[in-house]
Amino acid sequence: MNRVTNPIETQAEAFRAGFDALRTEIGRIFVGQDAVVEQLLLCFFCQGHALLEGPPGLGKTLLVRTLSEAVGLRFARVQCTPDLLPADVTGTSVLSEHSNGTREFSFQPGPIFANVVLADEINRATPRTQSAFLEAMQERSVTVFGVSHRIDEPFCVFATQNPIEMEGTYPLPEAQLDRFFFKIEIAMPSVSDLAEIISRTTGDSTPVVTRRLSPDLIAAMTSLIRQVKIGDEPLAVALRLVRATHPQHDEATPLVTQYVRYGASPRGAQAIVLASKALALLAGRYHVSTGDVRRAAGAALTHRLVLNFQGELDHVTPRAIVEDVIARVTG
Amino acid sequence: MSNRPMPSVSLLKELGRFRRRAIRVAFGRNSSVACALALIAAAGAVAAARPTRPIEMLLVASAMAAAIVGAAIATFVRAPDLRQVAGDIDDRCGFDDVLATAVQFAATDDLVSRLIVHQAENRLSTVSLAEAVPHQWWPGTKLLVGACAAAVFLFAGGIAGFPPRSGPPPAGSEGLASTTSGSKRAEGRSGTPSSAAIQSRREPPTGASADMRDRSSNEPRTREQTPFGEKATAPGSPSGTADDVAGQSGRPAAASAQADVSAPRAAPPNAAMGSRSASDAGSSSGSHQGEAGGGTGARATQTPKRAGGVSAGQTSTSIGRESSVRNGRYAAQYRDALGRAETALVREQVPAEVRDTVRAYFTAIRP
Repeated sequence: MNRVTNPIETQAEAFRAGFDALRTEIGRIFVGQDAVVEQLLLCFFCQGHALLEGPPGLGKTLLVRTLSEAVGLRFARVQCTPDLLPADVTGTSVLSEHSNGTREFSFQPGPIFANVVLADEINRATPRTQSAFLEAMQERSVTVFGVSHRIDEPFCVFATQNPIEMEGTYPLPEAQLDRFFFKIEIAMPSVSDLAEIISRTTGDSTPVVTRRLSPDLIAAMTSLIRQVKIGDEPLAVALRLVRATHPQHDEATPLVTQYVRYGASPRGAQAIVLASKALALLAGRYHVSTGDVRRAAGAALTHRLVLNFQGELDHVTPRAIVEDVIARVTG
Repeated sequence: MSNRPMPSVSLLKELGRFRRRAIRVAFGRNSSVACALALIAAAGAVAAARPTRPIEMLLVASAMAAAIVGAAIATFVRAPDLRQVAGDIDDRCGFDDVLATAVQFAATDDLVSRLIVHQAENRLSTVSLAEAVPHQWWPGTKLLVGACAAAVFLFAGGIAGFPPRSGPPPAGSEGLASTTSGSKRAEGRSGTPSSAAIQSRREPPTGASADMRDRSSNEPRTREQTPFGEKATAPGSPSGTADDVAGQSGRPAAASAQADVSAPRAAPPNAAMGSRSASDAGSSSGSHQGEAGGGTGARATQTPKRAGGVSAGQTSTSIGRESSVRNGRYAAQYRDALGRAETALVREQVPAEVRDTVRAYFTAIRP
C-alpha cells in the first residue's frame, strides 16, 4: 500500500501503547478491577476528575498512588477530616522576612498544586473545605488573598469516599459532584483476585512501580483525544441520554420521572463525548461510535442524578436509573 | 498528504452505488405493496360494480399503472441521501458509524478526517451491494399476500361468475330476470344461448333420474314440457286439462300439474325435476311460487300443482310412462305454442326485455 503514513496514526498507536503500558503497570500493583482501572485512565487522559466510591480496604488510595507513580507526575494526598481547613488544601500566604530585613507575604502552595491529587475520604471534610476544591477542579486555578495562582497541567483530582460510614460526614453537594468527570464504583474483588492480593501483599517482595509515560507523551495523548471526530448520530445519542435524565423532559424514562429530582448537567454530555473519544482511539478508530457513547455514559451520568424523596425511600440507586436510561435511549 | 486528492471522492462515488441500489430496493418494496393494494382495490371495484370484462381489465391495468407511478414518485421523493445510506449500512453491517461519520466529514480536509474516510473505504470494500442493502420485505407482507390472494380469488370470481350489470332489472320480471341471469351464466355473455347452454337445458343437471337421461331430445315432450300456453295440455289431448291428463296417465292428481296455467313455463322440461338451481327454478320449477314471467309477460302464480309441469314429487316412473308419447304430438304442440308466441311477439304483447329470452326458449325446446 502506497498510502503515506498519517502522523495521527502514529500518535494513535502511541496512545494505545501508552494506555496499555499504563494499564499493565497498574495491574502489577493493583489486582483485577480492569474496568475500574480503564475508567481511571480514561479520566486521567481526558483531564477529568474522578470520584472513587467503595468500602474501605479495596485499594482506592493504592490505585491513585500507583497511577501517579506510573506517570511520573507530582502526587499529593489530602486526608480529609472535619477540621481540615481550605487553606490546608489551597495553600496560604505567609509573612516571610527577607535577608535585608523586609517582610512580605509570600504564597505557600498547598497540595492542590500537584498534578495528581488524592482527596481521601472527601466527604469527611466540611463543606467549606470541600468548596475549596471547586475552583481548583473547574478553573484549574486557586485564588488566595485576591491573587489567582494557576495550577500546572496535567491536573487531576481523585477523591474517594466511603458509602457505608455516613456518620460524621458531609455528603458532597450536587455542584461539586457535577465537577467530577466519572464516578468510579469499586466493588469487592473476586475470589481469584482476592487470593492474588493476599499473595502479593503478604510476601517478602514489594513490587516497585516503574514510570511508563513522559509528561510530553501525556500531553500529546490528551491533545489527541480532542481531535477525534464525533458524528451527528453518536452526538445525538449522547444528548438524548442527558436529556432523558431530566424528569420534566419529554424523553424522560418512567424511572426518571418517578425517582429523579434533578438530571445531568451539560457537563455530563461533555464527559460522555470526551470519554467516548478516548474509547474510540483505544478501539483504533478516529471517530466516535454509538457504542462508545453507550460505554461511557454509565460512569459519566451516575453521580449527576439527584434522587427525590421517593427514590431515597425506595432505595433506588442512580446506577439502576442510568442503566435503564441507556437501555431505552440506545435501544 | 495535502497534495493528494481528497480521498472522500472515491468514497462518495462508491456510496453512490449503494444509494442507487437502496433506491431500487425501496422502489421494489413500494411498488409491490402499491400493486398489491391496487389489485385489492380493483378487485373490490370489480366485485361492487360488476363491469364488463374489458372494463374490468382496463380497471385493473389502470390501478396497476397508477400504483407503479405512485410508488416511483414516493420512492424518489423519499430517496435517502448519502448520509442516510451510510448510516443504514453502518447499522446493518456493524461498522460503528464509520461511514456516516466519513460522509459527514468528507468535506473537511484534515488528517483525522482523511483517516476516517480511509477507514470507511476499507470497511465498505469488505461488503457487497447485496449484503449492505438487501431486499427488505414490507413488515405486513404476509397479511398483504393473504389479502391479495383473496382479492385475486374475488377478481377471478368476478370475471367468471358475476354477471355484468347493464341496468336495473325491470319491475315485475324477477322470475324472468333470474332465468336470464342463470342462462347468461351458462351461456357466457354473448346474450344468445349457446349450444352448450341449450344442451344443458335439455339434459338433467343432476343424475336423479336415469329415465331422464334415457329420454333423448327426440322423444316427445309431455305435459310438463309444455313450452307455452295458457293451459297445459296433456299429450294426446291438446285441449284437455292437466287433470284429464293425470287421469289418463294414471298419475296421482297431486303429482300432476293443474291445468290452469296462465303463464308459459319458461324452463326446459328436464328442469322441472326440481333439481335445478334456484335461478332456474325461479321460472321453471314446480316448487317456485312467484312470477313466472315468460312469453306473454303475464304474471302467473305457480304452485307445485299449478306450475304447469311436473312437480317436485313426480317420480321417474311417471316420466317413463310419458316417454312413450310420440314425437309428433310434441311437435304439433310445439308449433301451436310457437305460433301463439310469435303472435304475441308481433303484437308486442311481450315485454321488450324478455323477447330474446322467449325466442331462446323456443329455440332450446325445438323438437
